[in-house]
Amino acid sequence: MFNSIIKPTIILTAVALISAWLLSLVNAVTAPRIEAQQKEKQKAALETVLPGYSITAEKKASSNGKELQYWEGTKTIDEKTVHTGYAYIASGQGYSGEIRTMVGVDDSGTIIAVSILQQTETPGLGARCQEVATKKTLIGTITGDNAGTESAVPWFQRQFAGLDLNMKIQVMKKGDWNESIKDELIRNNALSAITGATVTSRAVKDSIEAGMTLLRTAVTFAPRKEIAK
Amino acid sequence: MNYWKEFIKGVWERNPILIIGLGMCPTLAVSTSISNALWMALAATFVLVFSNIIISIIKGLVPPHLRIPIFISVIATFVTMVDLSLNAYQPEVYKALGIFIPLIVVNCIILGRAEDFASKNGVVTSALDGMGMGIGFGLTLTVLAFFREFLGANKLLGLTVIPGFEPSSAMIIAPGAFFTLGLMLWAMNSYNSRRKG
Amino acid sequence: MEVKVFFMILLGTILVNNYVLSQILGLCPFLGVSRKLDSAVGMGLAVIFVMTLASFFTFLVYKYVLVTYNITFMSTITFILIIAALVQFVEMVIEKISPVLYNSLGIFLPLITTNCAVLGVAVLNLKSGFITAEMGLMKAVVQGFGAGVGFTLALIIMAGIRERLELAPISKNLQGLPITFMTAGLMALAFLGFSGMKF
Repeated sequence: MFNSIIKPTIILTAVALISAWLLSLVNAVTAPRIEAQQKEKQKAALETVLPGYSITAEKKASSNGKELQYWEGTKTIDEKTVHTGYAYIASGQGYSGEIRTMVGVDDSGTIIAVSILQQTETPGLGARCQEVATKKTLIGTITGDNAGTESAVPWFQRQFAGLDLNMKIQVMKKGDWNESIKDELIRNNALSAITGATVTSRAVKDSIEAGMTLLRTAVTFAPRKEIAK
Repeated sequence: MNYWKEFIKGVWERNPILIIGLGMCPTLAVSTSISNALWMALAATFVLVFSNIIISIIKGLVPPHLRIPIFISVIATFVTMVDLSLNAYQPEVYKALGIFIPLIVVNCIILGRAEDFASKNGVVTSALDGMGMGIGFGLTLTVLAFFREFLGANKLLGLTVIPGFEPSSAMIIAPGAFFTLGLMLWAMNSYNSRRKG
Repeated sequence: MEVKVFFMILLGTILVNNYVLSQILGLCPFLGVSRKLDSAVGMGLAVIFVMTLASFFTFLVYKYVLVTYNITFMSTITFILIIAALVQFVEMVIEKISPVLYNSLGIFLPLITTNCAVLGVAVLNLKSGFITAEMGLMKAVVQGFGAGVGFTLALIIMAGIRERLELAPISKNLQGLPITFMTAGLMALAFLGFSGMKF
């Protein structure tokens, strides 16, 4: 009895206790840093989607039992014009798990910028929604030719800027986004899907639209007709 | 001299991936870029060396039938340490390696070395064995990653190699991983059989 | 709506993000137990069973023990011990209830502890955000079940191909692992076709 049940239990408990104690030490060191980083990340995401705005309030909108966390920010152009912007976190079901996107919209319902916070899509396909198109080359680095800075915003996310959420967003299959197809996409209020990952692209789009519907229950937007034309 | 032998055997002669055929999952999944491969190798080597050391120290105290659970607990403890530190100090790497950091626990190389080597040998040789195996694992991973990053993304260490060359993205995803490793094993078999005559 | 979400998870884990052929998890049993069709089926069934149970238990323990006591950093070690205990338990139960089933599955069960797809599905359930999602437990269990089915599918196809390969004339240096990896690569390429599927 003692040798077959109690002794192994004691030994295993001791091993588990020692490892728990060691890990709690490591955790005590790393936890504050991880937390600080997550705060930093959220702050950085807010700065990306609402550039130049100062965040004034953090609110919640809810309808039909669904809740949406959103931020309100203002940007002072001059003494008379103060722009209001909103940021919210949209989440949608991709192929493998949730995709969380932070979206910034201005008071007319036009997207300022989006930032994908979390995704677990297939590497090389859906995960390219966070890929930055770089022009830096290996030879350029060796010869020191990589002068100039590049935008660090991934191309998939950059194309959301300027899309009007008062209309449906279209998904087109144009391949990777680049400057030459930019005008055509904006004209059609469309985005170009990631090659081989249309579902991921759609999931992001759908979640942004669904989040906007929720946001509308709390905020009224004034569509700018002249820009829409 | 003997120490050197224990260390170097993991790199080629008893290479954990190419010869013994262990630890395939992280090998294929993380070799999408050289930097991922190097970080993975570093993380796995850390766990290998320290779990080997601890296990060779406690080997006399462990009842035989409790060996596996205790070894796994030791390994999982070190893996969690790596997991937490990467999350805190290298968040980008942590994100790129994703679930393959916690999965180091079930990497057969580590449990295999604990079972086959550390539970039978002294502290110094076990540590050297762990280091050699880790380096062998890392080297294979890096070679795989070199081909996959170059052919699959036209990049090396995140930098474009040939401007304008359209990479084959199949190399970055699973099929490319299987093909590359298959070709590598084929090449190695051919080399070995030729050397034998 | 809800049904569609579950259907999507199921389809995603079985075909689109097949654990073996797309996420590259669980290769050790995939290579080790795919020589014969019968043993592949046995291994597959055992994995489906353990993965579904593992998803269920790791989810509950994570949500109601680790999160409650704020010790989520212990998740990896907890999960692997749960899985090991589960495998052990399943083995004992099957042995008592159905000796026939035990004879066909028994030898595979201990191998499952170190099948990284099982720990993988437990960790992926966390990363997929199921912990806070509504009906998260259901989603986790469905994902576990789907992952197991996907694994079994890949394993059975592979075993079928390898049984044929035994008879094919293959150059000596390609025999064994190299040709198996090539086959797996072609299978993964074929499964890539599912990634364009619409709902």
